[in-house]
Amino acid sequence: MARYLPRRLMHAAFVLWAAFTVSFGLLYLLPADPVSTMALGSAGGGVPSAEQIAELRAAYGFDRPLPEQYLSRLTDALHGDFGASVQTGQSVTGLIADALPQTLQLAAAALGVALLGALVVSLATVRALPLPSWNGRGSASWFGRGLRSLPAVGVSAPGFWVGLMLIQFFSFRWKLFPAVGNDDRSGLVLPALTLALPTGAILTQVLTRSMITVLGEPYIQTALATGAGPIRVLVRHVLRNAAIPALTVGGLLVGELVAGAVTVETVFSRTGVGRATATAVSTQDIPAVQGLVVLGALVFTLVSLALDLLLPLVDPRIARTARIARSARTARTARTAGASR
Amino acid sequence: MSVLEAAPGEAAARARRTYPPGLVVAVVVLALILLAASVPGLFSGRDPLAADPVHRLRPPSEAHPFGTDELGRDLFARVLHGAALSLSAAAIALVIGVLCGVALGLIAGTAGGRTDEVVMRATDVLLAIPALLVSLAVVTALGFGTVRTAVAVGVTGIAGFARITRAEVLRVSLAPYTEAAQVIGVRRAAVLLRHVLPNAWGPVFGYAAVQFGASLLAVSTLGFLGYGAPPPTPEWGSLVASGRSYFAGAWWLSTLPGLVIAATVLAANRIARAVHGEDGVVPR
Repeated sequence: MARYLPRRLMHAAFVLWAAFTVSFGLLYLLPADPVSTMALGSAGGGVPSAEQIAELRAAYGFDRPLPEQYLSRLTDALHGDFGASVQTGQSVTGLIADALPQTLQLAAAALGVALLGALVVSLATVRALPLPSWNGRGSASWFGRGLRSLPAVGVSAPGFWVGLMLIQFFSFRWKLFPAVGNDDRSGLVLPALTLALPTGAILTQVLTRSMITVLGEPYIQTALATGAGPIRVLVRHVLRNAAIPALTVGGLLVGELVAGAVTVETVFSRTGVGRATATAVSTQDIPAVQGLVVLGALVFTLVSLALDLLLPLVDPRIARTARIARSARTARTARTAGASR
Repeated sequence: MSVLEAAPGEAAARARRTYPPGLVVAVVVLALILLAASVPGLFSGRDPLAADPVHRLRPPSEAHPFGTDELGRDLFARVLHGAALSLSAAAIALVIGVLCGVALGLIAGTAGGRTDEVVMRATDVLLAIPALLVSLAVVTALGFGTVRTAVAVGVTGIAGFARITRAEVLRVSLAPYTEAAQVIGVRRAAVLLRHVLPNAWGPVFGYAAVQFGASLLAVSTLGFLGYGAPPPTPEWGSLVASGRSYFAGAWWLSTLPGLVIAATVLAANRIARAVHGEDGVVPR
C-alpha cells in the first residue's frame, strides 16, 4: 500500500490534467465563438460593432495566443479558478459552488434509492431462479423471468421520458408530489427516482450476475447442506461475497449520476450543476462548460480513488488479487515488448 | 463465428431451434421501425409538418393514432418521419465510434510499447469523464444540429471500441496461425488485415450491437435538451421536449414519442444480447 498510494495519486492527477487538456483542446480549438454570441446579448438586440467584440475578447482573454491561454488557464485551474462565465460574468467556481449542494443532495438520494432497489430486486430475482441450489423450491418461472428482464427495461427507458411519466401520474393526476422546483423535501422524490432508475438497473444486473456466480461456490453448498434456508444463505453468505463487484460498479456510476442530473434537473426545473451545464451548453459558455467537464472528471476520479483504497480494507482478497494482477501485468508488458522486437 | 462454416447436420439442428418470444418481438419491433424510417409514408399518409389549427391538441383517435400537437400536426406522422433522422444519427455515432476505436485499438495492439501506453492512457481519460459531459463539450464546440450531436455521441464510444479491439488484437497476435504467418514472411500489414482483423472482429461486433441502443438513447437525450435539429423538424428527442409545455392537459404529446424511443432501445438491446451471446439463442 505504501508504494501503491503515490502511484495511484499520480494517476488521478494525470487523469484530471488530461481532462482539463482534452476539454481545452475541444473547446478552444474548435470554431465556437462565444464572444459574438454574448455580444449579441449585451448590445441590447442591436448588431455589436467590431470594437465591442474585440473589447470583450480582450476582457476574457480570448485574444491571446492559444499556448499562452492554455498555460494561464491551467495555472488558474490549479488554484481553483476556471475563469468567468461568459454568460453571467460570475466566476465559474462560484457558479459550481452555488449549484453543487442541490445536485449532491439529489445524487445522494438517487444513489440510496438505486442501491436499495438493486438489493431488493436482485435478491428476489436470484431467489426466483430455478437453480439447483434451491432444490426445486424456486417460484413460478414467469415471475422469475419477469424479474430478470426488469433491469433491461430500466436501462432502455430514456431518463427524461421516465421523469415526465412520473410527473404525469404523481403530480398531474394524483397530486402527490410537486412537478417542479427544489423548495421542499417532497420535491426531491420524483427526481431522485428518475435519476436512480438507470443506475439501479445496471447495479441490479451486476449484483444478480455476481450472486449467481457465488451460488456455485462450494461453501454455499455446505451452508445449504447444514439446513440453512434460502433467504438466510442469500443474505448471510451470498450477498456478502457478491457485494464487492456491485460496489465497484456503483462507485463508477456516481459520475454518471452527475451527468444524469443534466436531464433530470432540466425535466424537473431544479437548480443545480446539471441545469447549469445545460444552460452553459445552450449559450456556448466555454469557460463554464470546461469547468463543469473537469468537475465531472474530478468526481469520477475521487470516487474511484476512494474505492481503490477502501475496498481492500473491506475484502482482504482484493489486496491479494490486485498484487497478482499487477505482477501479471508487468509480466505481460514484458512479453509483448519482447514479441514486438 | 461458426455461421459461415455450418456443417450439414447443423442446418437440421437450426431448423428445430426455438427462439425466445422476447427476441421474436424485439426483431418484429425493430423491423417495423426500420421500415418506418425508410418509407414513412407506408404507415401514415399525413404530412408531418402540415398544421391544422381546428384539430389542435386532440387525443389519440382512429384518424390520429398518436393525437395531434399544439399546431394540429399529426403526432404519429411526426414520429414516423422522425425515425429516419434519429436512427441515422444513432448509426452515424456508432460508425464514428467503431471506425476511430478500431483504428486506435489496432494501432495500440500491434505497435505495443510507448504507442500502446499513450493510446490506453487517452482512453482512460475519455472513460473518466461521464459520456454525456464529453458529448456536451463537443456540442458546445461544434454547435447544434442532428449530425453534430451524432458526432458528439460517436466520440464517447471511441474509448470502448479501442479497448476491445486492442484486447482482441493482443489475443489473436499470440495465436499459432498468426505466428505462422509471421514466420513464413507475410508482410506486417497483410498479417494485420488478413489474419488479425477478421479474427478480432467478433467481440467488436457484439459490442457495437450493444452500443446501438445506447447511441440512440444518447442522441435522443441531446435532442431533448434542445441541441439537435431546429424546431419544425421532427426528431424523437425534441418531440418529447416540445410536448412538455402542454403536457398537463395533453398526456399523449411526450408520452407516445418517448414510448417509441424506449421500445426501440429495448428491442435493439434485446437483439444485441442475442448477438453478444450472453444467455442468447440456445436450442431447447
